[in-house]
Formats: sequence, structure tokens, C-alpha cells
Amino acid sequence: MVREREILVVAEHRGKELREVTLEMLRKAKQLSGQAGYRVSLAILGYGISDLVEEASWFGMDKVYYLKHRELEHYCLDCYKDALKGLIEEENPLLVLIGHTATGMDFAPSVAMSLNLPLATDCIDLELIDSGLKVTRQVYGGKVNVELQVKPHKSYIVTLRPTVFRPAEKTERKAQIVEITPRLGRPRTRFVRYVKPEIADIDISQAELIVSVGRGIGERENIKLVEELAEAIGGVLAASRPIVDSGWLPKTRQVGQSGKTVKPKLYLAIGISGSTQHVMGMKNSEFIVAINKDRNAPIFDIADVGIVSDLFEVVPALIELLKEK
Amino acid sequence: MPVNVVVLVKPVPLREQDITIREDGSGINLEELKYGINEWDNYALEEGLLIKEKFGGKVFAVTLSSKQRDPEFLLRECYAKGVDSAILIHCEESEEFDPYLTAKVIYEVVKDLEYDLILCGVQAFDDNYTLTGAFLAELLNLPHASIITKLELLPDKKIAVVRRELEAGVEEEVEVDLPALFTVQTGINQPRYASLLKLRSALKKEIRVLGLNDLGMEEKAVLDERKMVVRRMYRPIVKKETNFLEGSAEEVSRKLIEILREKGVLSG
Repeated sequence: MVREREILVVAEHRGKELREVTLEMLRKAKQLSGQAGYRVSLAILGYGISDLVEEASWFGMDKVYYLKHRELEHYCLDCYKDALKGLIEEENPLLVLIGHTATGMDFAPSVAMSLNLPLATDCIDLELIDSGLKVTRQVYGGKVNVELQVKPHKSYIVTLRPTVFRPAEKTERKAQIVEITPRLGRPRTRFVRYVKPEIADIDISQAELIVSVGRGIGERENIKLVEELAEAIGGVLAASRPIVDSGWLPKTRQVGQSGKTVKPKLYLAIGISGSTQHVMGMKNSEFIVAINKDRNAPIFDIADVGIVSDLFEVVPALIELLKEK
Repeated sequence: MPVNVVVLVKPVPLREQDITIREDGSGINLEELKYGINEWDNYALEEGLLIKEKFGGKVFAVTLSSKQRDPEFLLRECYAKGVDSAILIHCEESEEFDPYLTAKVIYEVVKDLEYDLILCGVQAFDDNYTLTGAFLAELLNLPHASIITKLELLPDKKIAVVRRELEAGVEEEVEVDLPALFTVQTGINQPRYASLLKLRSALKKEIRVLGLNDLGMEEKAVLDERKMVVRRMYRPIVKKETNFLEGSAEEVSRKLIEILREKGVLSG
């Protein structure tokens, strides 16, 4: 009997909650299966999470594999690799989808290399075609899109960028749950603990007006200038990653995937190029203004108002006009 | 107990340049660009040098690059910062490599080095694959941890305790058996600059240059092993209409304030 090929989504969860990227992958998987009639299944690795597995089984997939093992209670590279390798070898899925997150980025390459399967990372789109797989990715800090052809292979692994696809919705149909006890080797990496972020003096995620400063500011002492503008507007000062990496502002002021997600009425980006990681943290702002001298900076792709100019001329002019009133 | 560290460094186009796409969409116009160390690798390099200062041992810098990226200059900078030995795998075809080939070629060199630790950046600014480190670890049968923001070595216990950056400011502390490979996130340290004096003396240092032939591979045939090839490159399609303001600094500032007041974002 010829078995229908399968699209396998690897769930991401933390603290007994399914993470949004899992539902986004399920939506994409269903879209791909709709055209060709592939089965969609979800792999959940963990321990003591039967409620989560039960809850997840209502999102319209055909099957849920619950890979249950004490060693999988927390994320562990070797355990994930062993467990998924076993499942992929057994089920031979056509496509495996993994989130391009801190966790997915860590184990996906090990699984792919150990099975000698092609892996395309951080994809914003994909399409199964006769001659293999076609994926779209972003390169050069989001300035360029590239379409890659993955050569024909028995299986493909793709990591999908979070927040690109809409999440799948709950259905009336419950999937079959298959519990598996994976065989694991001795792990060479071991979870110790989570480290929570420090408490902020100001919570930028609650601010209505944000003036945010990026790499274009050049030097630490120039930050004063942007701070002055934030005051003149009555807003809060925030920053993109390079400013925080340099130690010029505290981590609590960082906007982006690894920092805070903000949704202010106004996001004024000053000297920020708009890397993917940054944009993920602010793209839902109500009104976005960008000042940058590079016309090709990706920040302009999402800005409502753009000023292509030297910030050291525009920012002082803005401050003066705001004070005039 | 001395700790030997291998650091992978890649020359990439410097930021703040116009990246232009070839007319046929087959790739980037690489010839017109200026190159320097990949930002993430610079933090990995600094971390390697800090380990050497603390524990003793040697730091090896390894680069795979075509000529146009000026890898020799990058490796001279590494020498000037304190690296003990620099290896250049020179390969013109590397511009067309996929991450599998990149990792495989680097593996052929690194496997013969004496190391306790391998460090590289989380990702490269240009191709953004986030794969070279983890692939290399798998080929060398080493454990790895990616996106690290803190590294503490306990060489006598043969372990490292690292912090991995997750999302929204949360981090994960992980204990890893040594030898291991870590991919380093920006901000883990404050990278040093190479002084002119040290750069000058670095000119005398020898860079070990290897070609694919030295690694038992063939320049032309190697590309057939790729699992992925570039179909086309293009500018992202922009859905949002941006209102670009033009004029002098004062003019654009006036216009902006007017827009913000109309929108009700600013009072007055």
C-alpha cells in the first residue's frame, strides 16, 4: 500500500503553553497539503504535558505524535535530535517544519545533518514543486529576498520565520494522538534554569509615544540628542539592539525579538535600519516614522512617513520646532 | 589549564553600503563592495581572546573565502588583536557554496587542529543561514549551544556553563560537555580594536593558505554536492505606501509635526 506523504510540524512550547509559531506552521502546512492531499501531523516533545497535547489536537491536523520522555521536560539539544531522528526515520515525512526561533535554530541543523537532509532556514515562504522545493528567504539584513531551489530529496526540513503566517484556528475535529517513548542517548547539553529579564525603570511596552535610536547615532554621547527629542515629544526613549550591545542603554530599552514588543501610537525610528529582529518588535505600532540616510534601509518598507536625511540635521530642527510652541 | 580555541571568521560586506542586485537576478554585485569581519564573528573572536587571557592556550582563526572579500586583511587584523595562528581556506567557488559545503570544507581543516572549544558568530550578515556552526559541530560529533550571551568555562570539570538568548529578554542556562562549539550573539563582550602599531607588525605574520586541492576536493566538482542553489534575488516587495517627506531639515520637520498633529499623535 502506498502511504500518503506527510508534512510534519514540530511544536514549540514553553511553560506548558503552545507557542504561536506552532499554529503559524500548521496553517502553512495545511495550505501546502490542500493542494496535494498530504497528511499533516504535529510532533510534540515533552513530559507531563498531556493537557497541552490534548488542546493542540484540535487544530485540524490528522495526527499528533506525543514524544514523551522525562529527559524532554526541558529543551535539550541531544534529546531533541535523537527523538526527532527516530520519528523522521520511522515516518519518512516529505517535509518537516520547524520554527526559526532560538530553540528551532538550535536543533534543526543537528537533525538535518545527522540524517543528511537538506535544511533551508528562516524561510518566509515555501512551495513544493516537481523539481524539489522552492523557498524564499531574506538576506543582507532584509534588504534582499532570495529564492532558493532545494534539490530533489526524499525529505526536506524548513525553519519558518515567526509572525509571517497567520495562526491556524481551532476546528471541530480532534486528531488522533499517538504516544511514543523515544530512545535517547546520554545528553551532552543539560538545561539548568531560565533567567528572567531584569526589572525596568520604565516599561517601554506600555508607552504611547516612543522615540527609538539605532546604530546611525554613531557615538554614545549623541544619544543625548535623541533623548532630548523624546522629552520634547513627551515620549519614551528606546533603542535597537546595537545600542544595547554597546552598553549605551540598558537591555530593558531594547525593542525587538529578543527585547520588548511595543505597539505605541507613534514609533519614531532614528538611525535604525530595521533588521528583521527589530521589526518583529515594533511592526504593529499604529504610526511609524523613520529618519535614516539610507534610502534602501528596510525600516522604510514599514514606515508611514519616511525622511531620507541626516539625522544630525533633522533631529535638532525637530527639537527646536517642538520647543517653539 | 590552557584552553585552545578555534574561531571561525567570515569577511562580509560592510553595512551602510548600497547592496545592488545583478541585472539577471542571479546574485549581488559583490565586486563593488567593501568587506570586513562579520559582526557576530567579531564578538566570537573577542570571546576567544578573553579565554586565552584567562586560561592561556592558543587561538586559531579560520576563514573560508574568495579573494575579492580580502580575507588576508581580515586575518591580519586577527593577528593584530592577539590570534596565534591564522588559516585561510581560499576558494573562489565559495561564493556559490550552500551551508553544507561551507561546513564540510571548514570541517576538513578544523578536524586536524587541537582545540577545546570552537566559537563562531550566530549568523552572517550577508547570507543569514545560522547554520555553519551547528553543522560543523555535527560533523565533528561535538555538542553545541547557539546564541550564547554568556560563557563560563570550567576546564578541570570539562564543562562550560552558557546562557542562550531566547525571546523577550528570557535566557536559558545550559551546561555543556567540552569540547564543544558555541555560536556567539552580539553584546556578549566589547570587542577590542587593533592598534595601527600591531596591525603593522601583523604584516610579518604568516597566514597558512589552503586550497580545496589540499583538502582532497576538486574545485569544480565540489559544487555538484550542493543541496541548494540560488534561483533569483530581488528587492522585497513593499506593500505599505510610505509618505516620503522632502526638503530642508526645517521643512521636513515642519511637515512631520503637522502630520503628527493632524493624526492626533501630538497635541497642539
